[in-house]
Amino acid sequence: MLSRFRFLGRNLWRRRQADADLEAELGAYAAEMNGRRRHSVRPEQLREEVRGARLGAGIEGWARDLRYAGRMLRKAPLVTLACVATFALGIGANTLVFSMANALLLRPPPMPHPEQLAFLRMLQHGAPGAGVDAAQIEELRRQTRDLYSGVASSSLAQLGLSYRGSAQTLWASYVSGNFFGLLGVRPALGRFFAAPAGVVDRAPELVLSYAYWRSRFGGDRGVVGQTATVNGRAVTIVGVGPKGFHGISDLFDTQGYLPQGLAATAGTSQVMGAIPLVRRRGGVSAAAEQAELGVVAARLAQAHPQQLHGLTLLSVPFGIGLISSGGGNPFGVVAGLFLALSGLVLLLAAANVMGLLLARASGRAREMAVRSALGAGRRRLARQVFLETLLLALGGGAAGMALGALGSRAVSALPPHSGFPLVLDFGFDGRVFLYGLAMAGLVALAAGLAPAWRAAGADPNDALRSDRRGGGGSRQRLRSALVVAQVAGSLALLIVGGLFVRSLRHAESAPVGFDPGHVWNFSLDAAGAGYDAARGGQYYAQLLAQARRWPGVESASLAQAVPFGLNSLGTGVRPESAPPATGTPAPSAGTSAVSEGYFATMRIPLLQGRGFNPGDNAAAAAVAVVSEAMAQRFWPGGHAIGQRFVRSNDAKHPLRVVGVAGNVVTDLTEPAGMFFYVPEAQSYSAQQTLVVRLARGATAAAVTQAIARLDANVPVSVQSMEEAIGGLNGLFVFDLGARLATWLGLLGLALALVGVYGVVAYGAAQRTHEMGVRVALGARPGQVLGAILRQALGIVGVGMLLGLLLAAGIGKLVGAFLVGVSGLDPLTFVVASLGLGAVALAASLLPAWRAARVDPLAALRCE
Amino acid sequence: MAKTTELLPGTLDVLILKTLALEPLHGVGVADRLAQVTQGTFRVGPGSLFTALHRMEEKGWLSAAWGETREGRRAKFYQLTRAGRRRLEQETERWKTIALAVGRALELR
Repeated sequence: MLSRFRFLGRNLWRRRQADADLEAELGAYAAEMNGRRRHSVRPEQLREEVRGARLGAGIEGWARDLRYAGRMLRKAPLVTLACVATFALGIGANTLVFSMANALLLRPPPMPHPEQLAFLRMLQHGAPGAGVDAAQIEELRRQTRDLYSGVASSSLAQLGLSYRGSAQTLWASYVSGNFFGLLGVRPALGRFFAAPAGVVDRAPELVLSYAYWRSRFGGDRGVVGQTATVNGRAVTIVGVGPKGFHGISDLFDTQGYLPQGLAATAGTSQVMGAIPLVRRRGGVSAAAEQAELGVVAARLAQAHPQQLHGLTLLSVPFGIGLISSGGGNPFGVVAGLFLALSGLVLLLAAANVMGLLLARASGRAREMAVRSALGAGRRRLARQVFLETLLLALGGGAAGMALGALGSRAVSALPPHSGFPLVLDFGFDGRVFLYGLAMAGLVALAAGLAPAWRAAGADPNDALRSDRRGGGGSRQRLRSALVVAQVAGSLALLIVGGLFVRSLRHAESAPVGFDPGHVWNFSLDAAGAGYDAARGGQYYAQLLAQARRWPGVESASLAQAVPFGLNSLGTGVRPESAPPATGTPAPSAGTSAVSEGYFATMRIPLLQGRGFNPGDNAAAAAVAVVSEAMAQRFWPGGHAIGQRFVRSNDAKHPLRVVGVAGNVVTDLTEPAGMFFYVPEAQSYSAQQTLVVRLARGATAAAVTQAIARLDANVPVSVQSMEEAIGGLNGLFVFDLGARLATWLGLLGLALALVGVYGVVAYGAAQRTHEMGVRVALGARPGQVLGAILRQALGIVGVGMLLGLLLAAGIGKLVGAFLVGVSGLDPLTFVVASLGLGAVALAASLLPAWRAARVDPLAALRCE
Repeated sequence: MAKTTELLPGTLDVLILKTLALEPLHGVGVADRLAQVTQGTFRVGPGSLFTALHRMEEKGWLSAAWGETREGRRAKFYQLTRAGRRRLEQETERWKTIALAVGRALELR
């Protein structure tokens, strides 16, 4: 065994010496044999034979082929560059899309054994329940001891954090004492909460997330031990979470953590009820878990017939689970779609490279034949050609991943500032690199197999004959088929891109029901300053009265929720006259509490009745303004005024309709739904938005300063209405989809352009002789041009036909993601086809024109 | 000229080992001795011969050293190592078994 390593080492690293030794031995042998025999011995051939059988000959051969491949690529720098660039574009697009899918779907949360972690979704009669309290968590823990090693809880809340005189919104979670222990994370700085499981921790302590610590406190290590004010209560900052840990969701950063016990006491607004988090014990199967949960849910429902009737418990794995509202994962479908589209781009790129390599292969037929005559086997030749493609693909892969990383950084920076700590970290990790590498290998196979196959099949006798027109028709047929596929794929990509752009345009231009220009939203949180309802009401009244007098403010009003904002609420509604629905849930309507002047500020038309006025105060009768859609659904025929309706969450207090306002769109994917407004004075909310229409030339910063002058303790975040519409709840997804699809489409078009040009130019070159004969026999240049173009357009035509079919198939699939445009939108199909046709024609014209100018004598002399 | 036969796969190694069991030989010597002991039944080409010699050297069955032939030429001489000798014994056993079995099988009526 040992001797083998010794010889392998000698053969690989001291090759020269080993070769010299072998040569001397064989030389002596030849001399001795030739001295006594008639036939001569050729030591060179003998040497090759013995060397081929030596240890490590295979490795040595690969190394030699690799060096040779590198040399061949350097010898044709233009082709090499074109291939690498093509691969880079294809692989870049793929890794970019994959990095997004990776961040949204695949990347496990940065905790040990994330697969054991789950949320328990609590449904009551199939609808989301109200969340759980500490006692219920404790009960769950007792009941599920066999299943789970721990049960923790977390509830998200929007708070205000004031530190050294500046107040900001803090998205925080109230968590049980065992929260961090259950997740298995360790603090980057300081400590986490110390209370043992089951004890409700009321210590006024705050743990910061790493990202928030960096952005708000500049990563100051001295912040641990300092006191901050959260919703008017002094808390001690005790620690900072680990880097990359964003809490229970991957999509937004939970900026701070407070002990669960504080939630009950503070006058805070929780966004969601407490959610139980569990860590499954090892060896518990999903089926066993679900069965046991059924038993536990039934037991709990029996024990608490009032609160938990009809309870079912559903275990939802960590990651995206919190966001997707049951029934499939929309991210998965979209990510799959874009992965498929970018895969198509990569195939087009591979086809282009294959075309280039095939074209070069005909130029290299002689080289192959010579090598074959010198004793290189077919497999060796094929390997050689394939290695070249592999090198190209690896180079392209490296460049592509660099491109993709740049692109993903740009996309990560795209989402507009939304006041919400969104995490869009499409960074590259090992998985993305692995994917890029796999893609490089795949395209090497896709693009390299056919040329390698051809190289292996090169018949030395054929190629060594000095026939310059050689290469044969089958190669041209293969290249034509490639271009047909390219045209088809790129047309499909273009059409899909066009559909997304049309959808975006539609979403942008669709009337939203109000005038967003010059409207700014200043989101405020009175609870964030520690104010109770009385003090908060006072504050907001004062703010509104002052704001209307500030310079540059055209009009101002307050709203609990604004379109495309964060605090949107909804509730079931029914006309008072209609009996309560049984079985089916009541139809849902969006709602917002707004002050006097809201409709004027937003320029929402009042169609009937009146808006709110100072008389609609807490002492007056409860009134509402309903949207046109709601008026038409409940009281068709314009009889809404004076009618009363009931909210499911407050059935004892019907509201009387005093006005009907125009519809306002709150979700761009759907037509405006039912909506009603209540007077702000009759429904206090700690979080409100000061909606201001600014005069021309006035700045939002001046208003922000004025708000801070009034009361610096109330956290403010600012966003223009246009930003809100372009944001996450609005156009952002459409915008991103349209951008990606357009770029993929243009990339496909560029690749197809190169492909068409290449095949036409090659075809024309092959027919130079024929054209020379034709011209010599009196054909006019126009006829020659026509002959070449006919061939080109035939290929393009077939490709476009296939592309239309492919696009129709994809269009049907993406239809669900489009607004205001069908997946088979004729305009998009026609325009994209015309565009591609024009580009293909342009790409064919140049080589065809060149062929038409051929000098018959020169063409014939080529023989 | 005696009738020559293609070597059975695997036989060359054991034949070479056998020829080297008596004394160290160089390439020509091995070829001559092989032709001599098999009375010309097997003829080994130089390609196969040197390939086999080098392969067995790499396996550690032979060791090689430069020396001089009786005619005073410089040549590389091959010698059995201890591993080579063991190998020869094993191979000889194996060949005897096979030859016996094949012989019996062919003589069956």
